[in-house]
Amino acid sequence: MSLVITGLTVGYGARRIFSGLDLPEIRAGRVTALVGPNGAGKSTVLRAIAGGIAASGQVFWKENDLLRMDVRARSRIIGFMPQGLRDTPGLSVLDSVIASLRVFAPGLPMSACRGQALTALSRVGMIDLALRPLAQVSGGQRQLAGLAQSLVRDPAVLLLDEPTSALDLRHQTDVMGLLKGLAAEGRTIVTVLHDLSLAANWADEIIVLADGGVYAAGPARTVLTPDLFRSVYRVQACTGQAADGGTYVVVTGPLEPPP
Amino acid sequence: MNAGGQADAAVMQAIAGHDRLIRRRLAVIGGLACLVLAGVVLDMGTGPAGVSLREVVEILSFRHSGDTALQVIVWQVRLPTALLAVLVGASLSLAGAEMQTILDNPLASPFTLGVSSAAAFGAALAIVMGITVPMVPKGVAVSVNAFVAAFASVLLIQLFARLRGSSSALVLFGIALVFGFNALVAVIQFVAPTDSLQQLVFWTMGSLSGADTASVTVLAVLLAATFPFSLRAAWPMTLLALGEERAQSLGVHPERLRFACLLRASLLASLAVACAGTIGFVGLIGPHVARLLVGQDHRYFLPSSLLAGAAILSFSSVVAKVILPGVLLPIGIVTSLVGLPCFIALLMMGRGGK
Repeated sequence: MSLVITGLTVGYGARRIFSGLDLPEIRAGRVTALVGPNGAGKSTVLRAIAGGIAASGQVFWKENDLLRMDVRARSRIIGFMPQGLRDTPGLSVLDSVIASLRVFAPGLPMSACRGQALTALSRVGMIDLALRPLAQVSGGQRQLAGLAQSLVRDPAVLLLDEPTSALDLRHQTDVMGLLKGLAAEGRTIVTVLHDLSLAANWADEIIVLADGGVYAAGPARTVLTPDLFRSVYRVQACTGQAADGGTYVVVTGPLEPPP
Repeated sequence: MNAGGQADAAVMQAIAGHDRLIRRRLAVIGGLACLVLAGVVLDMGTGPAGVSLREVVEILSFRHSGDTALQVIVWQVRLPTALLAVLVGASLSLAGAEMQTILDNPLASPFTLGVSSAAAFGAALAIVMGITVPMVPKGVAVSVNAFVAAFASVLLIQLFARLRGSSSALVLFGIALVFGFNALVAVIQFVAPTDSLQQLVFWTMGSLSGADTASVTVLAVLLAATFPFSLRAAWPMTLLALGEERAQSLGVHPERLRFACLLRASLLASLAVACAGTIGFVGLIGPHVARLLVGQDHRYFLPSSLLAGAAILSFSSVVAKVILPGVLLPIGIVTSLVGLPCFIALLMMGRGGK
């Protein structure tokens, strides 16, 4: 199974972000990281697949074109975790997850609903904050609540927009470990990441977006090259190998002095 | 305790806490219902005719064998007025709650979206210019005109929503409608003869004096018919409170939900305004009070808004009768005067709902 994206055209108003973008096949059972400089359109790709913005082209999943699907039908396949979740007043983390499942499966008894919501919250490490209002948890914890809202529906494809951006090192590791586990269960995981070390260590596949197209794609060792850092990010950087076998990216400076 | 045991304990703790939360919210709803009941009883026991609360209870329970005039006052004046206060308050507040959620704006209400202003314009056409809907009996011509104009204004908003989807643009369009209809009403007032001008001004102040069995029945039936649909939409509306794009990614169709909610809210608000004139603040304050009490879980928020609005208007009706002895103040004035300090207090509390 795989997600096949071809000819994706999307923009905001008159401004085109992509025109006929083809992405390499995104396979199930793997974590695919979308990386690239600011404004490269990483979040836009995810939002277009999830139906947050209008797009044309084809996004095939099991012979179904997701872009031609109704919002509800699409949400049964795709779980999308946006970058920021709003601090809705007076709605508890648990109730937000229950609401997500309830819209997905209206006939499910309330006790089963709550049980599944609590399981999802346990999985993202938010069980202790289940009763806390969304407005009273940190940005990172809200992201985790958002992940639980998607996870509770058991989606085949999970799209995540910078899931680690507001998390500390331990939670970053936990979330990436969770994504690895979800991929091992046969799900398709696509995540936007800015932290290239995180991408190098946890993603099976990296897709680099730049200048309205795919600059490179493949495993970290073939993609994250000094040439890529220079051309795409305009920095001097290199990758290194840690004692435990992990990969790190070190940036030594900008390619040209700042203006 | 091992990790599995700790996790189980955390889950059990969350379940117990959640049960407590639900019980608390249900208790709030029960409390608001009692408040509405108290408001109705008090409302029925107050008035210039000097009918005591004991007599009211006796008459309502068919145990009063005395004065027929008292029976007429209770059955034909006090009861319809008290029930209309509850129904109008409930309708406006529920309409406001739905509008605030679907337009993602805490300032949205039938008043701020132009529904009331449009109703006033419709009433002005009937009162001053004599322009009414054909075949409608004279006695209800003003109300029917107000309803038609109010409903037409919401259809205009719906049309605008189709053309320009964003909720903030919709709210601005509503505010533009307020100014537009207010200007039209001002023009009509400017050319109106003194007697009809007085009647129009009185109508725009809002009043429950027109309460009768017909208006109470129609509004009760509409509320009973629409509220189950509101409750059915509670889950998607809760998700919509997380943000439009988030709700959409979770399978909610924002446009469809917005259309259905706006249709319900407009029917309720239009009919409420047609029955009682323009009554401000209830549609704004009711949902805010409910949000402070039970939060944004719409299973509890919608019934709480309905009851909060009903209680506010019921008690306003009492205040309207007792504030100046011997004078029945138009209820719209009372709700605005009571609502203003409440609204300012809510604003000062700021993030209280969080």
